[in-house]
Amino acid sequence: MSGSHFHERREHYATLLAALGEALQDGDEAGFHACARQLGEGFESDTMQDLRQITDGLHAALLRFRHDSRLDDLATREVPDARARLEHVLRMTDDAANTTLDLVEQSCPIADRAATRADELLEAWNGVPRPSRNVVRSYLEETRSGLGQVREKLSQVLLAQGFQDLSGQIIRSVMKLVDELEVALTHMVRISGGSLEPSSMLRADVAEPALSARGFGPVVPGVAHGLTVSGQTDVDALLSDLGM
Amino acid sequence: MSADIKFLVVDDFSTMRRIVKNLLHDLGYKNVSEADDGNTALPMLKTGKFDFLITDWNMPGMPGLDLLKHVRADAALAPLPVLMLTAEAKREQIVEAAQAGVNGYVIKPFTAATLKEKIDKILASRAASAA
Repeated sequence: MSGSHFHERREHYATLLAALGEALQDGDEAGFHACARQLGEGFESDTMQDLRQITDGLHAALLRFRHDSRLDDLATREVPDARARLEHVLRMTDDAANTTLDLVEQSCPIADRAATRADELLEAWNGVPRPSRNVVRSYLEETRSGLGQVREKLSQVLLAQGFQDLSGQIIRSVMKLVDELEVALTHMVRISGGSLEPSSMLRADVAEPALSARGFGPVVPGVAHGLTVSGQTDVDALLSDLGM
Repeated sequence: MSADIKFLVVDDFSTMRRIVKNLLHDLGYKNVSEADDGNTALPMLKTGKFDFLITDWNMPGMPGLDLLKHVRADAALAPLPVLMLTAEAKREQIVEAAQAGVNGYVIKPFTAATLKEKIDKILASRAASAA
């Protein structure tokens, strides 16, 4: 029971207690019981009112959390979506790289064959008798067809690189979401009494103290990686310093 | 040493394995096998069928650095030339790889010319020490 309720009902309790005392003194059993019941009801009603207020507050807080905060949406929909988008990018880049490699692997033997046949033809050309017109024609036709195939495959290689545009867009949208998530998490940490500033948690290099045997992955511009080399020349210089 | 050299290329990304394999083919090395991490590579190496190991660093299972240490700790495998082909760019990592006995370190992204240069250098140094 809150203090304010007690003060509001102080007079009411005083009257009831006085009546209770009188009934006790007078030996008025019915009056005594009536007063006692009224007193009990008053206490019950106050407790119920307090409970109702607590429940209402809790309910309002839950509603506010659900409506005002983006966390619910982020956690249940957007983060799983982002994961799926990144998986898609991974698949797309993998497919594009494999398509490109397939096309290169198919093109190389065509080019090799044309070059070998040209060598054979040149060798024969220097000898006696010279190759017949039919042999030369067959080589030229074969070469024209082969180069047409190589040209077609090179076009496909170009097309396969289109993944870069699409994956770039997807990654950019995921980055936007990560930014939003960072802000929401920082807000939550601040509410709970922490003092985290945006970005400090994302930039923290957790593996920094101990050199991880597993590796850190490629250097990403804008992300702290510690002391790194800037390319092969740096690597060679470092290894040379080490006596290699 | 010649085009008969048997290479083992270890990388968890199949595309990178294919790229390296194609580059090696272009350099005249036709005998190239693949593994996707140290755990797969080590038993293959222990068969004694390989002359040259090219490995990535960052892989699930057994990373490249651990594979290198296993190779150097195994008397039969210890002389195997090992080239690290990786995106790992921390200076301390390169030092650690050197201390673990790596013969060459190529940083990704790399060029075909760099790969050729490092392989040639390792093979030349092997040939000189064998002579």
